[in-house]
Amino acid sequence: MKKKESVVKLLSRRRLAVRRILIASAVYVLITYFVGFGILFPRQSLYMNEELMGTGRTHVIARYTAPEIYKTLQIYFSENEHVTMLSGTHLTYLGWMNAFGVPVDCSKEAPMYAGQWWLYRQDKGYVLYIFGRVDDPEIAYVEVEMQYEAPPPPGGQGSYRLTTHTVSSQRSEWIEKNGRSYFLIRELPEEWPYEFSIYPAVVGYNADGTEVIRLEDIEGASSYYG
Amino acid sequence: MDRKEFTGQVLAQLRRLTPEEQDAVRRELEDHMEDRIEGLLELGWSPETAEERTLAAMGAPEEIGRELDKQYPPGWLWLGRAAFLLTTVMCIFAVLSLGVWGFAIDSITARFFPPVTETLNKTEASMPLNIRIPVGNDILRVCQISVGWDGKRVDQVAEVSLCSYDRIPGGIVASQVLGRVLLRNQRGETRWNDDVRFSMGTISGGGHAKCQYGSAIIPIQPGDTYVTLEYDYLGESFFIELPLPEEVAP
Repeated sequence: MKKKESVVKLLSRRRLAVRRILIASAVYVLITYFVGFGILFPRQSLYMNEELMGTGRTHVIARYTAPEIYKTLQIYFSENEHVTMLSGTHLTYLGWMNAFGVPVDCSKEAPMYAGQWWLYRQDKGYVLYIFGRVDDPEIAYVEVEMQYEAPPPPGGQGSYRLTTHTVSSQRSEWIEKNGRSYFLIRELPEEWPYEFSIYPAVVGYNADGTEVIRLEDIEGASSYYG
Repeated sequence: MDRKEFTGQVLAQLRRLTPEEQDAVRRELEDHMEDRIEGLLELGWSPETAEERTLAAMGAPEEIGRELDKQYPPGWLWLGRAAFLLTTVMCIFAVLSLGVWGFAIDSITARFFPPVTETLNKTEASMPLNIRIPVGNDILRVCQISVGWDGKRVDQVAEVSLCSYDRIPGGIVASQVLGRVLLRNQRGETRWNDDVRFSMGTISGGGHAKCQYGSAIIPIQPGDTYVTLEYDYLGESFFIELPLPEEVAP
């Protein structure tokens, strides 16, 4: 009899704990869904970015860090059939917060798609990502021409673009996922004197060095963090 | 030693129990002893002897207390307390985030009472619409089409009012759902970088992550009977014709 009563009490303590855990879980789900804070895992933040950009579910093909911006900043390189996306998340005292990103529309037939994402944090630094998808098997390497918009010469009219340097990425460095090829170039143009007026041109070449496709004014975004 | 002292000595061993649990144990012990004493009294024992025999049959109070104490491992207790603390913190946080809850309310109310964006200086005619177009996880809702003058050009213009929200109430809406919609007139003309691009904002000073609103304007000419809305981005596309209000079609 004594033992039976003790077991009943033990279950009561457990039942109370389970009830409180269920209530806490429900409150947590409501707050993260409606308020968007309290994200426990960076992947949840990636899902939020997908919702914000309307990309649908994407598969992560690579993950990077960007300590120049935030020590905890995680950069996700992800894709699906129609989208190649670069997005970020970083840890705050309110949980993982999405750091936005750039989706590149790959739904129209093209040999190559490219996008750019500037990340800048005041008094900390900046970093530029140029990324994309290559569908044409003939393209053997990609070159990114870093261009800036130069002011018109004295007495002249109209600005023009100047290339400061070129960065290349070989097919052997690319990531294969679901039969598709992806490239990502990370640039830290510390001496870049023109702030955000950077216009990278992405050029795809075949093995002979012949230009296959040139993409200018690629999709992109700049993210500023205080 | 009487029953009260006996119970006190048992309870003194129950260090892991909360006050509520100690009260429950006290009640159970007292009920148990009471039942046993009543049984002995019914057999003709005197009250003093019945209590004495009952306490003797119960055993050593310290031993009972130690054994009972083992039946209450602290793990579930601390887990429950941690969950309670977490819930309290989250509720405080939710109260401090009242402004953000307003966004979710916008998302819900837009399904029933979509605010209409009207920017025309002079409206000739308006036609309310309720066209809901699924775009990915979101819904684009065409709320109204109007014909009139916007004060910037001589031509008559058509204005289409839209809003977008997530399929699930309170969910995040993708910003490009409105941002990538194109409005064309009957001749296929559009001016993406001019005022044809949708601009946010009617309530809450503009759209937000849960709900977005806007309208677009396109010049129309005499004889035009419709305008078109187009969308083609990230694998989602649609094309619909919106008839101009018939009675005032120019």
